[in-house]
Amino acid sequence: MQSWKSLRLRVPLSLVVATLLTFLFVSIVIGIQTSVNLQADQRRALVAESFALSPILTDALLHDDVWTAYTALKGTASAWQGQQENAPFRLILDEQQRIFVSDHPQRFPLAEALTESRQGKALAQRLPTTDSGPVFFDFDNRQMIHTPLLSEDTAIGSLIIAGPRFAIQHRLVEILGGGLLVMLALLLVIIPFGWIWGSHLVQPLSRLAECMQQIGKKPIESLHCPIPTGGDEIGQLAEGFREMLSELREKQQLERQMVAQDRLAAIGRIAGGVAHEINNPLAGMLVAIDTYKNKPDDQKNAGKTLALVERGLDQIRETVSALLVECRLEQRQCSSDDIEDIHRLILADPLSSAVTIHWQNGVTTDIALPATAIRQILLNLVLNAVQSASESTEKTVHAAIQVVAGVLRMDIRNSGEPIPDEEMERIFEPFHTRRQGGTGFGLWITYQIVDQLKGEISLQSGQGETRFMVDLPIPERAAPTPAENDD
Amino acid sequence: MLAILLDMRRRTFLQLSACLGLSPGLSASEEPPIRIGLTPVILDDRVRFLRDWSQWLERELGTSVEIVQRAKYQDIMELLNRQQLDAAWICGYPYVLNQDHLDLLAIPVYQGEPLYHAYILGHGADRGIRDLRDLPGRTFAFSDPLSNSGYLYPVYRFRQLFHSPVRGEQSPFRKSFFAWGHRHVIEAVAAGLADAGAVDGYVWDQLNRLHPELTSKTHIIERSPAFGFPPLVSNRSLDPERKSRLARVFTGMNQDDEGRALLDSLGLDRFQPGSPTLYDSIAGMARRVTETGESRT
Repeated sequence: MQSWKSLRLRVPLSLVVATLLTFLFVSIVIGIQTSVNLQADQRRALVAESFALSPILTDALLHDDVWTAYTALKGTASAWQGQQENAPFRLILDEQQRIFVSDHPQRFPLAEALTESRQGKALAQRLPTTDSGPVFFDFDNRQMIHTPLLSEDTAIGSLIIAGPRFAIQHRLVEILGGGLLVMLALLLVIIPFGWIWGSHLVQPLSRLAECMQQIGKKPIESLHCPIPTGGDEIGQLAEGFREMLSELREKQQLERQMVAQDRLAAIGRIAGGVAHEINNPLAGMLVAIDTYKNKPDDQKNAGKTLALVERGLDQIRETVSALLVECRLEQRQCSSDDIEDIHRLILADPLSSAVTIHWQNGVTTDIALPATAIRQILLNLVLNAVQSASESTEKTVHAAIQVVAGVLRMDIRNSGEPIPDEEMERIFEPFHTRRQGGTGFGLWITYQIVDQLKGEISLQSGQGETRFMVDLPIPERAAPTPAENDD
Repeated sequence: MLAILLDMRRRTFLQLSACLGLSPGLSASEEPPIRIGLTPVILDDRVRFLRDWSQWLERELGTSVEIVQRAKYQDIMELLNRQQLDAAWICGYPYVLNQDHLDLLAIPVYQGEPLYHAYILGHGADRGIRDLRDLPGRTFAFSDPLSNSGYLYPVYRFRQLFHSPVRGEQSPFRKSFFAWGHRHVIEAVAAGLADAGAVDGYVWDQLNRLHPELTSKTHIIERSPAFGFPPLVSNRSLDPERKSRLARVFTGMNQDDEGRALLDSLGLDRFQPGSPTLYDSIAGMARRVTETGESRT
């Protein structure tokens, strides 16, 4: 929880970032404003200075009095306390644009043409040509004022005053530097405040989060969350969560009631299904007993009948046991007779009289698969096929059972109506039935058995033919036990 | 400007002193104050020294003393000629020019002799000035057109060397100007305003003692031969009693502790009576320069 994404960190961090950004923004604005003000002040100062100096300089220039002019210029220059290369400078030019005097004689030597130095040349090009009055111009990051020195309205030279070299970035750095201390002091307050505020914000949220994480792990009834209240968004969230919890509780109760009802219904359905599974062989057996009754002396027939009855009863017993998933009875291998038994049991079904059944028993030897399971699969599939075929016009069922490349294949086709696509998907689910009075149990059990035997069941349904195909791999040795943990 | 200001302060001080009865000379008699003119032949901007000196003079002379300062030698000379000053400390050059109506009162003795030298200074930084021959095309600062060391001697030398007028169109210099005072010349050369300049050697020495940071930016290219030290003079028509009193007070300055302290402060040994012949060499140079037609301004 305590990652950098935590609000505990993000709230103070956001405050710090917001403060820094505000500070930066304000500093820049103040810096720019200060610079603008400074420049305006500087212009006023330049004008005042040039007005103050002009009369004495005009006089000095007229009388070629270098020293007086120099001391006048020097007097105003001595106040500068910054770096010398940025210092303001003053310059008097005579009519021929020669330097009469400057307060920086090293840089602007006496009586030299202004154009002789490189800087002077650049400056000369920027000088205004008018002699009517003071003119401002910018040069080399300085504000400059050019004032003609007039005697009887005639210019005898000019005074150039250059303000200090102005660097807005220096001003900004100064302001930022000065503000930085204030900033740091502010941050000392903001960071703990932000931390406390962040924790205050996070506390209800993390309580909510903890509570939410318990959903699904603990029963809803045992969830006791100290959920925060309040009118803010977190309060609303908590209220929503509270409502969700109570709805979840109601839903769970409802589900429990439904499950209880379903269980009752399922018990009834299973009883019906089991009766059906028992009824199927019973009918065949009763017919065989009837036949025996008619010819009680036919010893050969009696033996057959008894064997059939025995197998039928075995099937009933094993069907019952197969239905009880946990209970496995002794298994025996499937034989050709088992396949024939199913044929007989089918023929006992009243519906089969109206249906042509093409039975092809390709099993000649015993197969290492549990007989009861094979019988149950086959019985279910063929009975379903007979049922479907009986409702069609063609009324034909093809059942082919054979061993192909180590696989027992049961291929059951009928001429019944095709199964719609949406039902194909759900056909192996429990309680799904297409017939009135059906339990929806037969195909589900078939599917479960095939699955346990690691086989495959497929269904194709088209115009005039529906086909179930079951492939069961035959283990190479003894009959498999469907469940390893069989007790 | 500064001189006028000083003058006014001086007057105020004296008036104040008079009101408080601190000045015995003034309270004792109705004698008009003795007015002494000063030129920048000494470091005339030392207000505290001047106050002490004038107090000492008042006591010794028995009358009030008014120190009159002007930036230009010419102004003092005019006051002197119009008898508006009783005495003045002037340069040897204006003395020889006005010798016919001036009397020598006292001559300072500097380092044992009533003599001094003129210095030609160059800017301290390396501008390649080692010799007077390096000066053509440079800028040059003179002290005052009536100064011997700050004008007459260098002009005389440059005429010898370059055979052309020192001022004006044919000047060997790119530019020359007057800085009105030896100290200003030193400042101008130190600042690089002038590449070189001519000053009173005594003033340079004194400044070197008091403000070496300024003189260190200059270096001496040439020392002149010795000349008569700038003298204290009076108008010839000054009352003889006043004249002799002034001469006596100045020449007796070294016999008094306070007077000696003041002389120490000036860097001088004493004042002594002197003969006009001391200034003959200056007069000779002045004649030569005038003959060659060099203007003084």
